Amino acid sequence: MTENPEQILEGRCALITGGSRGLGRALCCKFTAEGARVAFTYLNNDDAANETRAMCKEAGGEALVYKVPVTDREATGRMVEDIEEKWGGIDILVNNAAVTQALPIALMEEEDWDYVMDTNVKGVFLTTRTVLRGMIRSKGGVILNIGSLAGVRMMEAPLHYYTSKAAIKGLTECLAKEVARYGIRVICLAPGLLEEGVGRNLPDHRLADYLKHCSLGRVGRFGEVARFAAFLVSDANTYMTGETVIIDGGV
Amino acid sequence: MPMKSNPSQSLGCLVFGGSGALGRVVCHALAAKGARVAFTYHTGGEVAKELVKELPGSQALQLDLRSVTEIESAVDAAADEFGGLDAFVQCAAVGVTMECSGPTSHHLMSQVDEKGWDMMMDVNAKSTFFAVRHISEIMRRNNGGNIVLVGSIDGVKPVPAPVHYAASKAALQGMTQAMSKELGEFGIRINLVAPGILEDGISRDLPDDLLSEYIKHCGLKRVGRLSEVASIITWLARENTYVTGQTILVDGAV
Repeated sequence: MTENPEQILEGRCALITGGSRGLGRALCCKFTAEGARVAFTYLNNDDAANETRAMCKEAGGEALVYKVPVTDREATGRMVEDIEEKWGGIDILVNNAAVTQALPIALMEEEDWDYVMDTNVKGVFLTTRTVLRGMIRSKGGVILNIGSLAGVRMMEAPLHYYTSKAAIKGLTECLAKEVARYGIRVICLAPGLLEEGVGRNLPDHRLADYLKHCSLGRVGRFGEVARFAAFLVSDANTYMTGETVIIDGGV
Repeated sequence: MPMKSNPSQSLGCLVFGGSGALGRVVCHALAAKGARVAFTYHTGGEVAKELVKELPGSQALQLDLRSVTEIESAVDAAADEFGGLDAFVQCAAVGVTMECSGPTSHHLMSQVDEKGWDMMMDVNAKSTFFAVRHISEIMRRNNGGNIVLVGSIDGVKPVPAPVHYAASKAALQGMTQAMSKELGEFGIRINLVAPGILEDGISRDLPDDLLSEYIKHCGLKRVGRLSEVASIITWLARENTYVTGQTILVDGAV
């Protein structure tokens, strides 16, 4: 299907965390195709990051790529400085980086809890705080937090992951209230199960259960979530903030 | 992109309440994206005439939403024109059911009589049910489509509102959820866009004191523009493939 001739993110500068694979990669490609300049972070998979960079190039853009963990405050600070120097500012932040582990609570060690909460919640806090300073100075911007159906709808899921995503919904609501005065919008996009996302290690019975309860009867594709994300952060959507939008095929 | 009723042509969209403030902007937004538009109106004949002029090729259908027969005829007329239906947007609604004593009078429960209640429920909720019931039969035949209902913050969040209006809009949320379950297997997606207070339309009925209260509690400190709501309605009608059963608030963070 051909893209719209109009690029809905033309001239915008976007930072996407966790861009080397999965949904993050789809976001990088879609945002680039919609005319945005894209910078993305990744944790350790150099090959995947290079592939995303190549895909962005194909979509018509030169992505800035940073091997920076979202939990590293200082490295994040240097990265944001670097991007702001190159681009003059960041208009769109997508907090996408997240991890999970398939663990029952009885086997969940304190380290496991910290690992998931640090990446999924503290990482969002640190990245957001760092990027917000520039957005407040320029009196505008959009922050899109990638949440999850786990964290919004009651369901079986790893406890720490579910808790971390529920925190992201709360963070979205509170932050939206606090930064609206600067013209900054904050939205949470909560996908259901995606083709190859964090649910790829899902036990068969839970996948079958999802498909059974999903109105559209299939898992979601990265591309369709990225397309919605591009609309949500675009200039066409300027009155939505604090909202958590679910894209799950109707579970 | 969603499956089209007729792949050689642009999307065929039916908009209820096209002569209303929001409906008109939605019709424009859909047409601007290349969709073929049919819309209904009730008393807004003049606006409907203008709209047809503004959107060459569009079709205006007069309709009293209290008549299920008229609803089904209007749907059939649009479907005949387009050879099916790809999207349906329900913008038609009433906000008040009686003559208010003045523009600043609060619409209290004691002022809602049985006639007012029935009118509200018939126009806002019952009409939507029968419209979707009929439209979904047509959409099933062309492998699916997108349905977008327009709700209100009044039916989602606890805010001062005419109770029968809030109830009718909350009914749409329940309808959206249950319909998404029933219609998903046919490739039909249904969602509810719930705006906060807007610059025009039903929001004009709001008394001044409640309007300032709203702006005070709204994060963005302003009412919404019709275009800001029409844009997500248009996205859901044209581009949506995996969102269904959702209520999406567009209220500037109240």
